[in-house]
Amino acid sequence: MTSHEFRVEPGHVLAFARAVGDENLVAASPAVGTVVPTTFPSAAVQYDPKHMQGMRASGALADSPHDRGSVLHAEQHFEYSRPVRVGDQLTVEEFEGRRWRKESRRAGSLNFREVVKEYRDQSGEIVIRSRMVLVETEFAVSDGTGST
Amino acid sequence: MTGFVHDDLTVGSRLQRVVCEQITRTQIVQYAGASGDYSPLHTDEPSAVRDGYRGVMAHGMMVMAATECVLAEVIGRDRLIYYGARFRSPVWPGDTLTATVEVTAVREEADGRYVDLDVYTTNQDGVTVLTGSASARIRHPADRRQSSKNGG
Repeated sequence: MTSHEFRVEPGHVLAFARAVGDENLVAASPAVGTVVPTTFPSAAVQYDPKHMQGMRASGALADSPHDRGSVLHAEQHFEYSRPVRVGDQLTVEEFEGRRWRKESRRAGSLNFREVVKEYRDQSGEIVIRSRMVLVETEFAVSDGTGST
Repeated sequence: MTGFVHDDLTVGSRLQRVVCEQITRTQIVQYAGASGDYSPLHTDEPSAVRDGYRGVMAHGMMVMAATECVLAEVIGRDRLIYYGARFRSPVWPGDTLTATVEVTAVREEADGRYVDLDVYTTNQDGVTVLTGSASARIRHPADRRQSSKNGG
């Protein structure tokens, strides 16, 4: 398990909103208390002190295929106990989840694994639980499962 | 349809609109910078080609986020209790994405009214690139108390 802090800062939310074309948030830095886009917490990795140090990603993003093929992002799920707002200070804990394997005619062996994250507020309450499914393909898949 | 009033949500209510118009490599890099996902599959064209792809592809999470803008219009993002997606096909520079959100159920529970939605996003060729679902609590006891206080 790894853990790091995540401060929901207005400039970060603005940059995210502009990148995804969120017309309601692109004009200016959002005020403290503004509800953030519901997939924005996936950007919490920016606050992992180990992330991109020496140009190396941390956590789930550090995965690389063992030989050929790719690691693709196949699924993403979020469960929310309450909305995340600008100004929130959260703690993110990352856990390994299930692992399974499938065979695919186009991509060869597919090795799936789950990464679970829990986002807690300062009182220790879970705000979000997310589940990411990654798949390592044996060969590149240009038009099929997973887009990462 | 241009928007929903929560009390008017019914099964079959649907909102569809373009969420990404001709995605550029710049937008993909912009998302990488905001999200922290700098995978070479998204940011390094020669590396992506070496790995067997036609070039860099957009992040699935970028597509999920763009699609969420429609979800936010339909139910308001402060009421969402679940949002999940499967990334069905790669999204490439030049693609134009259209997202659709459709109400599949409206449920009365002891602690409020819930709505379930199907979500999907297609590219300009009609290929489905994302499928998913969402649920929201659109009314709960606090809403009723607030409504009474405001004379509503």
